[in-house]
Amino acid sequence: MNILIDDVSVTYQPKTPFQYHALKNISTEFRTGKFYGIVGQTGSGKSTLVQLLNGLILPTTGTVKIDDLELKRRTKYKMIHEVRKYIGIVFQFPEHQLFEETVLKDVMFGPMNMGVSEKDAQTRALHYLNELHVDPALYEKSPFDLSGGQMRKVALAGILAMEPKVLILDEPTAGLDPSSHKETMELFKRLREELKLTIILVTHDMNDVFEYSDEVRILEAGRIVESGPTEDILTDQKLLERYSLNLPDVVRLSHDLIRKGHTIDKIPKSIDEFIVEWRLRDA
Amino acid sequence: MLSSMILGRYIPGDSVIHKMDPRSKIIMTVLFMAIVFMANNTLTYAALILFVLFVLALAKLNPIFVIKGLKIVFVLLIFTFLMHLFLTKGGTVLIDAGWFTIESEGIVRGVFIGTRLVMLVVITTIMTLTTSPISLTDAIEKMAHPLKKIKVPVHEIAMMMSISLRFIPTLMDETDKIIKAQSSRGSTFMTGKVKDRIKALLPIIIPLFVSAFQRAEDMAIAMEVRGYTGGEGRTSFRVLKWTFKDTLGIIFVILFGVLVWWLRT
Repeated sequence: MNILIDDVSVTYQPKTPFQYHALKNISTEFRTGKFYGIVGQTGSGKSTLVQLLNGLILPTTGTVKIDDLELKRRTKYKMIHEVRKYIGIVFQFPEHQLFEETVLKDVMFGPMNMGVSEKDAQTRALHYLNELHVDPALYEKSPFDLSGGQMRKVALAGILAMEPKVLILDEPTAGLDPSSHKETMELFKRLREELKLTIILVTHDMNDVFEYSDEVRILEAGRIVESGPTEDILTDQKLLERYSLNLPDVVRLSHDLIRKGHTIDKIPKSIDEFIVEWRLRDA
Repeated sequence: MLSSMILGRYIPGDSVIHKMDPRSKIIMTVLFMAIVFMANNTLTYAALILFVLFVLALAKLNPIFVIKGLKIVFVLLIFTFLMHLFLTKGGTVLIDAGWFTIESEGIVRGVFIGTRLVMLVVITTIMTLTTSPISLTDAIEKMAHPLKKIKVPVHEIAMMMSISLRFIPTLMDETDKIIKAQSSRGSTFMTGKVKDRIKALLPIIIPLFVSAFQRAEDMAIAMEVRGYTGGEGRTSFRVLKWTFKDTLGIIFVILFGVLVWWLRT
């Protein structure tokens, strides 16, 4: 699914003392099967942008086109519901959305809302819970009895069971320990390959963006100020500094070593990868 | 949806009204509310309206913005007006449809009572719009202090009030977030049959309760570890200061009350 954002502005509470322009004349494109990273300071409009793609917020002016579905200022609810079949959002701390009596029922909630039969919804739920390595012994338990990490996996399975074509991730690893962080990100990478998903990752973590994304959009004060291939943008220190963003760790390390006279042809995607390559070099 | 609602909201500002002591604002509001009930003819109601407009100007608030924000109140207003229109008898009969009549007294009463209602709501809204919830509870705690003598837990009540006021925006945000999360999972509480809509509220209410209880627990622990033991011997970070303009304000309202008393029939 290709997403085309055409000259979209979003204004919150227009004509009141609280009026706030969250997005200003944004135009951009998200293409099928790619992994996008969206970065920017807090309050730059990142979360407004992702909610726009799902019809949670409608544009004040402009259009969002998702293949041939259109979202505009006065789009009808039916159309929005249609869009939500294809675009799944994993919000920050998704475990806060759990509510059902059992884990299995909670995962089935999304697909059933989208008109999938109970039997099929259950099949899907079992499949994705298994995919995320949730212990089958937990399926009939209350989601509130699980640990934080398990709850997040269940919430995630709830979104995946809707089988979206585009997966939007809003700080999906916030509050996770380093190993769960790695595991979750690797999972997205795998899902993307297996299910041919388009992934849009919103995060403050430049390392993740550098390691996983193909393209980057930088937002500042409601505008897209940079967009292009990840390896071009995230290795440009001057450019990142202009928007008060940090270089990814592995890029900083590589730059330092290059300055000291070492040759690094291609900057590795992550510190782990860097270490592996560095050790090979010594051997 | 809830964004234009201004009931109980606070807008920071630097007007004279903003800078007044919250205690004097409470006293003036109560006085004005008493004055509203003294009004009984066109002249006195006009005086009330002028007075409220004057206070709005002093507080640097746009009357149109305030009226728009009070949309919810208008349902009540229209209901009151209609009740008077059909049920109050007296004066000349304007419409006689057999099973109901509209009489001139009904219209007059309807307009008067409607104005009274609007004045009461607007004046209290001005108070909350210009006074932060925290200073409001501070003021209430100070004013209720004498009640301690008869063993009323004034500090505890004020504390509970300020905590609940403090959490209104937080819970609103939380509700908003959960609504968004569930709608993106296809929950349809905005359309469909009433029965389905009520059912669709569960996925919102349950997570909201879970997080509210979690918050309350965290808060209790945070207070505990910081050694909170109640009001005994506590000093206040914000000290309320009564100034000349507060006295002046109250005198002004009293004078206005005298004027209304003199104008009423």
